[in-house]
Amino acid sequence: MSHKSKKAAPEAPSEESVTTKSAESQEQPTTPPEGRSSMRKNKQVVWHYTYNHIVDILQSGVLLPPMMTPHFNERNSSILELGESIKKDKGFQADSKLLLFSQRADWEPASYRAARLGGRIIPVHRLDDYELYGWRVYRVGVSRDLLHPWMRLKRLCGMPPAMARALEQVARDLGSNPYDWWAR
Amino acid sequence: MGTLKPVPDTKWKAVEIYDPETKTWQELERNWESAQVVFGMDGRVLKGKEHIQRILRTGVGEDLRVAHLRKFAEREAPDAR
Repeated sequence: MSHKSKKAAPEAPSEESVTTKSAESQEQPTTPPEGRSSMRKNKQVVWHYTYNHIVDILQSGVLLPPMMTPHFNERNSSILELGESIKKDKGFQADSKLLLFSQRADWEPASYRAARLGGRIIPVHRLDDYELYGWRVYRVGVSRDLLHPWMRLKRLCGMPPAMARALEQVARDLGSNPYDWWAR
Repeated sequence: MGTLKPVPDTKWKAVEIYDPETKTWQELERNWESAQVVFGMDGRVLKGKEHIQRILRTGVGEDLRVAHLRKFAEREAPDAR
């Protein structure tokens, strides 16, 4: 793999601006994507963020929902921490079906991962922090017209409303906006 | 519910890597060869049905790059959660 071109990434929001955006998101949500013109919808590229799985993704040439990926059972944090019984949980099943994308051009804060250090799990939120753990961050862009907006898909996949609300709240606290999310 | 839909690379617009030194996203040059037919963990065809149908229709085989995700699962799992 080699680099072909460079694109300037917009500056990541500061903590202050994250707080501001989070507050705005709760009080006055962004216009739902369904309301925008179809022309704009078709043109927009949305991004799926990935890390150490990039080799599998490029060799297979296919992006998969988590449940269908090769290492799902041995690497899913919920299964590791709560055991196989979590697979019967409706919320777990819904979450495992979703292949998520974001329309943000710089970075999707809700796509963060966690590092295990000395038995402790440490979330890694900032894009620039991934280098500390030796992780490169990749993203695959697709046209938004292939996807459904999160607000619709959370119902289609059968996610319990309380879980969806909790996910959205956590994401907003991180500076993410669920109206930026698209999924398949 | 119908959300378990893969996105094959025929639908991809770009693959990019983040460069923390320049704080830019850089597009990867397409110099790898992906599988043309992919079988999922449960044996279902996830990509390349048209290749298989053509072989069945014509009776003529062809050299295809085939990936079985079960083989991928036998590799060491990536470290990221």
